Parts: sequence; structure tokens; C-alpha cells
Amino acid sequence: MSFTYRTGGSVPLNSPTYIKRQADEDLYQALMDGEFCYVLTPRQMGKSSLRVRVMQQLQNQGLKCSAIDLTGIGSKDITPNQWYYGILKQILKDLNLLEVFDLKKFWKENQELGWLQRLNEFVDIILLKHISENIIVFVDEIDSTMSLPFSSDDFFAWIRYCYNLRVDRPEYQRLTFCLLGVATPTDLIKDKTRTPFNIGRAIEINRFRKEQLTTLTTDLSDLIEDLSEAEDEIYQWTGGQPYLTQQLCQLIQKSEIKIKKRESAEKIGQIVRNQIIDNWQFQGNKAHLQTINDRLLNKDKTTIKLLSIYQKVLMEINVEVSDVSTDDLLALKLTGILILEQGYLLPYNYIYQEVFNQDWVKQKLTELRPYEEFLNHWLENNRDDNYLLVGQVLIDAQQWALTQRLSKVDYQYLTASQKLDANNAIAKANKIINQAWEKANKLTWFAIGIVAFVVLGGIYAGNIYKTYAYCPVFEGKPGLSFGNTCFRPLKTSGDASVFLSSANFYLDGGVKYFKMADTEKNDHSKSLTNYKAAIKMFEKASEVDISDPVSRIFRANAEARIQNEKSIKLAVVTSIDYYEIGAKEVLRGIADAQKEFNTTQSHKRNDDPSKIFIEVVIFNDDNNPEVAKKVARDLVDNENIVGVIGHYASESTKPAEEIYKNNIAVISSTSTGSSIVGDNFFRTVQNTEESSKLYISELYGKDKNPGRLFIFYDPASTYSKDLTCDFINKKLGISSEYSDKDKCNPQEKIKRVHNVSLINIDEDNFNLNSEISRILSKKEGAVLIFTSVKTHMLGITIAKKLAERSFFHVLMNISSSETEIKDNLNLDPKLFKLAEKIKLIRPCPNGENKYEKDTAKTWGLKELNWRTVTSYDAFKAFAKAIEQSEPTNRSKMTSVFRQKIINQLQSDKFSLENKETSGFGVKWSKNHSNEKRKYCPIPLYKKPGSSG
Amino acid sequence: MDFITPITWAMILLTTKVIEKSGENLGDKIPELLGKFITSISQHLKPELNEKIRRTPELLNEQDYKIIRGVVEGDPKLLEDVQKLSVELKSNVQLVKIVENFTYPNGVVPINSPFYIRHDDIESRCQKAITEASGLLRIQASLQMGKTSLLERLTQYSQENFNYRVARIDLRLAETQNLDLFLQWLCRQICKQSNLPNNVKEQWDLNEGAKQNCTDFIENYILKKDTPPLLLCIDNLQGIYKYDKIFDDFFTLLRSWYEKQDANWSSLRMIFLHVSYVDTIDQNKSPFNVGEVVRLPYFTKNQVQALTVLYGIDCQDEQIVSLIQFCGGHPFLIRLVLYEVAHKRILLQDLLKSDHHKNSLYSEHLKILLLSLERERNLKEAMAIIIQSDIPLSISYIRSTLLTKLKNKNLEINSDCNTLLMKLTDLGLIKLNDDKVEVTNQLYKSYFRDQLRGY
Repeated sequence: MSFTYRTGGSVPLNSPTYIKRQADEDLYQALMDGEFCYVLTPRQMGKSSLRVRVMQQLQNQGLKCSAIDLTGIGSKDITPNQWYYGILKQILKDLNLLEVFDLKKFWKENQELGWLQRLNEFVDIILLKHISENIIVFVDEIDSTMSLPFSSDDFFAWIRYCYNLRVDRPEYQRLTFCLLGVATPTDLIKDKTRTPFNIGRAIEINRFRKEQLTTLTTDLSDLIEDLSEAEDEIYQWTGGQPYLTQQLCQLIQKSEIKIKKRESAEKIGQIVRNQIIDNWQFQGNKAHLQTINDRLLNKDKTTIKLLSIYQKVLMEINVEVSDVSTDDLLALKLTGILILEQGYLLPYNYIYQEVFNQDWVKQKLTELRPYEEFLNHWLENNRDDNYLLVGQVLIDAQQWALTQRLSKVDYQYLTASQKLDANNAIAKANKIINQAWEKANKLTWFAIGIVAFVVLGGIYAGNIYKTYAYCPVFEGKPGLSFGNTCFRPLKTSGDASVFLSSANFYLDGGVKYFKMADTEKNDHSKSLTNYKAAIKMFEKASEVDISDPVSRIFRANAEARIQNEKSIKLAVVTSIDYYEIGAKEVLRGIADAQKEFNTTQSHKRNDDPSKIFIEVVIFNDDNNPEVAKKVARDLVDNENIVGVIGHYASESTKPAEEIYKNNIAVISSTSTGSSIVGDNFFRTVQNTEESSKLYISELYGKDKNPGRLFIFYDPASTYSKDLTCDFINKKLGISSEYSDKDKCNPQEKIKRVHNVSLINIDEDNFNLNSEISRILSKKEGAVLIFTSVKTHMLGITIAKKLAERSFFHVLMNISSSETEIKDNLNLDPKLFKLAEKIKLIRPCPNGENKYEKDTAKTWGLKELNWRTVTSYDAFKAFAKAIEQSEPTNRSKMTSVFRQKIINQLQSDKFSLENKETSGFGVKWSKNHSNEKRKYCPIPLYKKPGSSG
Repeated sequence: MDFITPITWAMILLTTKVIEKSGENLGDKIPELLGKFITSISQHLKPELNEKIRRTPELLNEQDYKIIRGVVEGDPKLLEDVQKLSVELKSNVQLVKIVENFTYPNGVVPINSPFYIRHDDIESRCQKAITEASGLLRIQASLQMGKTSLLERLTQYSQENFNYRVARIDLRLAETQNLDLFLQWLCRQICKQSNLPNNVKEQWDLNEGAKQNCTDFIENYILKKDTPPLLLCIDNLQGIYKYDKIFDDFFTLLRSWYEKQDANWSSLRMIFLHVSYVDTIDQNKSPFNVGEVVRLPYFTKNQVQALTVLYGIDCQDEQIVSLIQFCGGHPFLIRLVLYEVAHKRILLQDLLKSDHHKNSLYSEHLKILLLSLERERNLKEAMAIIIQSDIPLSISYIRSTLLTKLKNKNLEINSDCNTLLMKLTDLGLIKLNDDKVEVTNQLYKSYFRDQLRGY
């Protein structure tokens, strides 16, 4: 027997694909007992199919049933008269009374009565008189009453009234209603005293249970060898969602692909990805997902709230039902995206999780109509030009508009804004906008660079090399050069956008106010108002993009600015455009520490001389040594800045340090190259001498012998070279001396080490594939990935290739970010066991500490990156040194104050307690590293099932 | 011994079709030779392949040819038969006349025309869809892809085999003042076409809303018991998109008919024809996420080959490949080119010349497309970006470039990028592959590069 799966529309009565659920039993029983029922569920859960079946059962028991499909009656221009008449006609028709009773006449005779009375009259003199059996009236698609041109409150009140009458008029117990639809009761009727939804019984429609899938898969037995394995797989993806389960079965059937034993995961996964998930908006069967998308986003005022609850659920933060208001809960449930189980909200299935993933939520949160308030004012005030958007704000709004389906009003508003903006002489004169556009144009060129590079670099997967592509290929060597053209000079406390990749209207709005406040310094009250406005905007900016550190730092800066005389400035230099992920990780720690420090200060009394606020100035060095030097020179000359946290990678920290020397204190939270030294230079991590010890003990520790060892290294990078030298020295038992660091030649040194190969990835004739096959030709061994920030993606590629093919021990250094490694490795779950052998040697996490434990959530992350933690410590160290330097009269004596800070940091007594930091405390070793923060080997993947 | 090329073979088989369809008299020799040949070869082939040879020779693929060739070449008797047959075919005056007597490939391919080319499983899927109870079929394709030709065949099939009543409604001609008048018009059309007296006016009860009136009318007067099913074909569905007052109410009405489970309603079968994806209304109240959907594909190499034979064009494999490259297998364009080649007005090898797109032959087709772009400035700008690239572009790249362009030119933004791309796809101008967008064929590429130069 062959049958078609029913995807969309109700399942016909005789269909073998109908799966009975608890709801069938519940609804039938409740209606038999004369209970009022309502079934409010998401789309495509099988609501109408349930109705059809229960109705048939009831009719078999001799009950009289009527089914009203409200979409078949209501329309945009229908009158209430026609609508109510239509409903009664439908009831009469279903109960075979149309011939018996003249509805037209009845309707005409009772013209003077209101709707409610006419309906009651109808029940009294017709329904209950002519029918002696129990009557059930099903009302389907009740949400369509919301699009009627009049209020349907009377209709719902009528149903309620029929129930209330049961006490005085026993015959009313024969009349029972069942309402079905996708709407919250409050959407349908506002008046609590007239609503029928608090008297009846709610019927839940559950997902299919796994064992029920057999009904659906029998027809696939020609294609699938192991049905139960395939059912597991189908269930994994769809979570038993009725529509998706049927759709997937149908797709498998149509694909006609034979699925052998143990192939289910791969082949069904492929079908799901290719035909449901990937580019879902362009798939033929997108309607189901589109509905969820629209339901979640079309909520206007509550969308942000609903999305953030959903985001938490996605992040596997347990969301208890009791934490969410009833209305929100029902609204979320009705979208279908979440499910309520054992008191918790959980994602419904993998397909939804993949389509509506973190990135999607984030994008939507930043894309929610950013100009909502302006637009409302504009409409309320007769389209007054004052409420139109101008400048950068308009540009952002337009950028946003290109990603959205908008209403006519939106386009009218944007068009009006654009016309005004073009005519606005001030806006025309405003060069800043033009510059912003030049910037945008440049970005386009970069994008062309990306496309071209992907084509050129076809040997490797395109996205692996994306970090290179920030530089246009037409400058210097394709993709690998970092010419000055890529560099974006950035120095900001709040008056410029930092990360160009993510559009955030509120952030740009805040920046606009901040800039206004900054240029109007002399007009104190005006400037104050603008800073306050900026603070509000920044606050909203963090709400829509909780993982963004910039809005938090800018907000704290604006608050510090309000304090006027009482703030001092600290520079954070990092690589903004070149390595955004790392930069954000650093800035998060800074933002946390700054907020903590400034909050403590704000509790101090105004006349307390120690009351001081710290403003953070963000600088970009683009991870380029030349740019780093230029930034360093600027910083030394900029007398407002008292200290520097940075730079990002050792190759830029090192040349910059040559310039900072003795002029200003520098604490780096990320550069670990041991060849960087200086009296004024400190770091909250340990250097490569320390990490190399751990590599040695991991490889050659007690009872360990890795066999052949391969080291991938990049001599062009300070960090990679230092690490390699330190490692070889340790292996040879040579204690490292500062003086010979720069002269170290790993290629020479390695000749003295037995059984170790050094692979130079910077060499022109470096060929990844042949190196990998050379390694894999050995039966066992170990690989050290000592890449640099510039080459870290290559490191990930190497790790991926090794993880998939062999049993090698792989140790990776900290040139990449852990999340990025995991994202890009994108390993097949089956390889997880092998992947346990890939370890990252990184500064130890501190799970016990409050900071590491609790803060991740506030950023919407599962865990904090170590860079966030060490950057937090770096700020804390500065804060302590600043406090101890008694910062008074600093404006006149910056150079003296800078020296004071250096002295404080250099003092033997200088240290921070565990609780003053992220957990381990700070104490400088001889080489000014934080000796308290050790390195740990962290497996990239843990066994499935193990916690964390 | 490679003389039995796929082309010879296709020619043989298509002759079968000519004989069957048009009943032309080709003398005695050809049918005799042909019958003999097909009978003797059928003993060596699997039933499915035999079925295919007899019914849908245009769908034979490389694999099939290989099998057939293997059989023929392995049997000297068969080989001789083929040789004889092929000589006969080439010299048969009547056959050449039939093949020459083709009409200009515009509009519908007539019902009995041998020039109608079947698609793999589409015809059978469609037939199945409309013969099921409450069957609903949507045929979606851009202009001149063969929608109406397919519809013609489906209505004929349903009338001949099941005695369906057929009502064809073209929404471009609809009364669009308001929902009520629109639905009355619809009912009148159905009455007219199913030869029922027009009593719409009398049956319309002003106490009720338009939808209920229409539903009752169809239930009580059209779908009466003991009447054959009604095949309601709604053509040019896109024709009423712009009438806000009508279209979503109309669509929800169609959906509610589809949902009706009682016996009378199950004898309503519907076919919708439209050019673009409709996503402006609540999907669950729309008839667009139920039933069978058919998207008409471009012609495959085998189908084109079959057509060349019909047009009597002797051409090489590589010429077919370049023909497909030139127009992407677009049914209308392929027919157009072959028609002209058959009349010796153009040469196949000219297709790849750089200025061939300037040939007036294509101008009408291309102008329609250009006009669609001219109507919507954003669409034109988006196309201009895609046309300028030699490599497929990612959606995000197009989006950011489009923004910059619109802004620099101070143009209004009135649609989002995905919708624009969807519209271009509907027009058949672009295709989406793995997240990347590219122009569908060489003709469009050269033409629009010319037209949109400087954008």
C-alpha cells in the first residue's frame, strides 16, 4: 500500500497516517462530559485533524455536532449582521435544520435585538427546542476574528453566557462549545468578565511520541533497511512535531534514496539540511518555518521580551516556567518554537534550533524596527518633519530596511526621511556622513576582496581563510599582506562605531549623542543632556545585543564624563577590524571591571578626594606592527592617558613596547611572547616560557613518549617564534635568558633535538596537504600547533584534518579563540572521542570563582573566554595602582602621575588578592608576568554526557 | 560501428509519435519497418524501458541509449533493420513535410502536436494530484515556460478519462471592484463553463457575507450529488495580488474549500497557475502550502535533442550543449531558436557570438523582462549588480552592495533584498545555488549587460 504524507491541511478521516494522541482521548471525554473546551496550539500541530476525528466519534455516539470554520465566513468587508447570520446558518445546516426552520424570517423579525440577544433567542427557541440530543458546536480558526472589521466580543460573550445559564436553565447543559485556534485569550477578548476562556478546559496537543512514528515509516520500508534507526534520526530532528515529521517522511520518500543500516544519520541529516534548513527562505516548503518566524517577530511590543526568553532557552540556561508571565508563556508556546516540559521551557526540536539559532536571534534583536518610537511620533503628529530620521541614524535604518519585509508606512517614512535628509543643508554640509559612506564603500571593496579570494584560494574551504580577507587582495600579496589600506585609525571613548560588522541602531544613536556632547563641552547643561541621552541609547544597545562590550564601555564612559573633573583615562589597544572575536573578548573583561570600579566610586561621597572615575579609550592597531608603533607614539604624546592595556598579539605589543618604554605603564592581558620585556611592561598572563613547560610535561611527562613530534610554527610571528624557542630550549634543558631571545633561530636549534620536525608555515613552498599526509604516514605521534594570530585559521584547519583521520595527540596554542575553534572544526559528533586528544594549552579557568561563573550569562555566553578574564585582571591591576597613586591634580601633572603608576606597579608589595581579581589574584614574577595564573591543558571536546 | 547515435534513435522514436498523434500517412514502408524493429527489440529490454520507448521517447536518457545501443549492436539483424529504417526516414517526403509544417512557437503547444515535450514525472504527478479526492495542484513557473500547454493536456486528460467538468478562470479578466462582485463573477464563470443556467443573482442572499454565499452556491448548484467532479483551473493567480481587498479573503476561501471533508466537496479539484511565490498572507489560511506543487523545469539535454530531431535539425552533441548554455534550457527560447534554425534564418554556431543577443528574434521576450525590471527600480539595481559579476555572488554581498548603490544614487528603498532576489528568480533571470546567485543563461547575461551598462 502506498499513501501520501499529509503535510498541511487536515488529515482525511480514512487516512492511515493519522496518529492518535492523548488529546484525542481528552477532548472526546471532556466533550462527552459536557465540558466547554478550547484547543489553543501552534500551527500545524494537527488541530483540525483532531477536531474532525473527535467530531466523528461524538456523532457515532449520537451527539449532534456543528463545525464552524470562521475563515469561511468572515472577510474584510463583512458586516456584523452578515457574520452572525452566517454562523447561525452554518449551525442550522450542520444540524440539518435548514429546511425545517426559516432563518431569514427569524432574522428579520428580531431585527431590533442586539447580536447577543438574537443569538440567545436562537438557542432558546430553535436549537434546544428542535434538538433533543446533546449539541456540540466546534468553532475553528477563532483567531480569524481578529481581522474582522468589527469587534467580535459579543460572540465570545455569547458562548460565556450559554455556560452561565447552565445553573438556572438545565437544558443549557446540552449545549457545549469547543474553540480551536492559534491565539492567546487576551488577543481575542479583553474583558475578563465576558471571556469564555476561564471557564472551560484547555486541551493540550502533544508532540508525537517516538514509538508512534512506526505508523508513518511503514511506507518507507522499501527505502530504509533499519526502520527503527531511521525513526530515531527523524525524531531527533523533528522532536515529533506533527507537520515536520510528516514532511521529513515525505521528503525521504520523494528522494528515493536507499538508506542502508547505519546510514540513517548521514543520509537523513543530508535531506534535512539540503531541503529544509539551508536557505530555508528559498525552499519550496518554507511556509511552516515562515509562520514561526512571523509569529515570533510580529508581536511588536513584546518581541524583544519573547526573543530574549527564547535566547536564554537556546543558551541552555534553564528557564523555569514560573519565571515567565502567563501571557508571554502562551505567546511563546503558540509560536511553536518552544515546548513546556516538566516545568521548563525547552527548544522544540533540532530543526528549529538550527534555523532559529543564536545568530538568528541576535540578528533579529538588532533588526527590530529601530525607529519605532520616531515613527509613532511622526504618525501621531500628522507626519511632522521633526520626527524624520537624518544622518547616520537614517543610514542605519535603511541598512536595516534592506533586510526586512516592511509595511507601506515604513517605506513612506523612510522615503520622507530620505528626502528631508537630501534637502537638509546642514546634513549636506555634514562631512561626517560622507566619511561614513566612504567607509561603507570601502567595505564593499573588501567584500569584493573576499569573493575573489575565495575563488583564488579554492584549495581550502573558503571560510577558513576569512580572517585574511579583511585586506583587499589587490594590495600586495593576495590576501596575506596587511597593507595600510586595511587600517582604520580608531580612537574613541564613545564618539565612533567600533565594530563595523554588526549594525546596532541604538549604539549608533548613542554615538551620535556622545559626539554632540563632546563637541559642546563648553555648554555644560547642553552637554549634560546629550550625555544622558547617550546613556539611554547605549543601555538599549546592550539590551538588543547583549554580547557587545562596546555599548557597555561607552555607557560607563558617558557616565564618567558627567562627573566632569573627576575622571581619568585608560587606553585599551586591541585589534578591532583584524580579529574582531579576540577584540570583543578583551573588551568584555574591560567593560566588567570598569563598571565595577565606577560603581564603587559612585557610592563615595562627593567631597571624598579619592573619588575618581575611569574612562576607557579604545584604540585600534589592526594587529599591524607599523600601526601599533604609530598608536604607541600617539599615546605617549596624549597627556590625558595614564596607562595602556594591550596590545593584542605579541607582534604588535613588542614594537609598541619599544616606544612606551618608561613613558607609560603597559599591562597586556593577551601577549605572551617571552621576548617582550620592559620595566614598565606587565602582563596578567604568564609568558611562553611558562606555557612551554606545560607542553613538555604533557608530551614527555612521566611514562609518556609521543614518538615523532611535529611543530607547525610561524617565524614571522613574535609569539610563535618565542614559543617555539622556549619549547626547544626546555627540551634541550637550556634555561632561557632574555638576551638571546631575539637571536634565537629555531631552525638551527632544532637540529640538536632528536625525533622532532619543525614545519615553517610562513615559507613560500609550504603545502598543507603534503605536510599532513607526511604526518599521517606515521602511525602515531604528536603535533604542536604553534600558529600566530595571523595564521590561526590555518592552525584550526590542521587540527581538523588531524582530528578526522588519526590518533595523534594535538596540542594547540592560544592563537585562536576557543569558540572559534569549535565553530570551525565543526566536527562530526562521532569524532568527539578522537577530538578529546586535541587540547588547548591556555591560562587555567577558575570555575569556582564568582566572576567566571556568573558573568558569562550576562553576556549571553556559555563560558567566559580566558582573554576576558585576564583583561578584567589587567584593568583591576591598573585600578589598584591608580588608587594607590592618589590621583589628585592629575591634569597638570600627567607625566608625574604616569610615573607614580609605574612605580606602584613595580613595587615588590604590589599584588592583588584572589577576591580582588577574577580568582587567582595578581602577583608579578621576575619577568613581570602574573605568576598566579598558571596554564592548563583543556580538551576541546569532552565526552558527550559529561557536564559543562 | 557507432552510426546508431542517440539522434538516429530519437528520430526513429519520434516518428512513432508523429504517426500515433497526427495519424499522418507515411506510406507503408516506415510503419512496417518501425513496427518490426520495435517488436524485435522489445524482447531484449525490460518492460519499463519498453514502456518508455513507446510512450515518452523524449525522456530516454544516456543510460537508456547505452542499453539500447548495446542490444542493437549485438544483433546483426537488428543492426540491418536500423540501417534500412534510417535511410527510409531521411528520404520520406511526407515525414519531412510534417516536420517542416511546424508553427511559430508562441503560445500553447496544440494538443495533438508532436512538438509537445513531456517532463520526467511531472505529467504523471499532476494527473495523480487532480484525480485524488479534493485534489489541489499548483503549477508555478515564470513566463513562457509551458504552464498553459501543460494545463491544456491536464484538462484534456481529465475530460477524456474521467469525464470531469472543467472551468477555466483567468483572473486577469476578473471583476475586481470588491470581494462580493468578484465572487459573483467567479460563480457566473463556473456556471457558464459547466453549462449550467446562470442563477447567481437569485441565489445570492444579502443576509450573508460574500464568502458564505459563494461557498453555498458552489455546494448547492455546482457540486451537486451524482455529477462528475469539477476541475476548477485558476490561471494567472498573480493577476489579483494587487487587489488588497480581494486577494487574501479569496485565498482563505479557497483554503477552506480544500479543508471541507464532505463528499460533495471532495469532487472539487483545483489547479492554480501562477508565476511567482505568494507569501503575503498567513500561510496557514492560504491554499499555497497544501496540495501538490509543480515547478516547471528547464529542458534537459535529451529533451532538446528530441526537439532537434522533430525540427529536422541535424546537429552535433556539442552544439546542443552550447544551445543549452545559450538559453539555459528555457523551453520557449529553445523552441524559438530551433524554429529559426529549421527555417535556416540563423545558424546554431552563431549562438555563441558575442553580439548574437542583439538579434531581433529575442527582442520581444527580452523586452518583457526588461520592462519588469524597469517597473521596479530596486529590482533593476539588484539585477545590475548580479549581471556585472562573472562569478556567483553571495546574498549578503549583493545586499551590502545594493545598499551602497541605492544610497549613493539617493534612491528610495522599497523592498528587502530577499524579496528582490525572489522576484528575479520568479522572472527566471537568476538562479540560486548553494547560497550563491547567478544569471540563468548566456543570452540574459549578454543582453542585460548591454542594457544595464553604467548601472
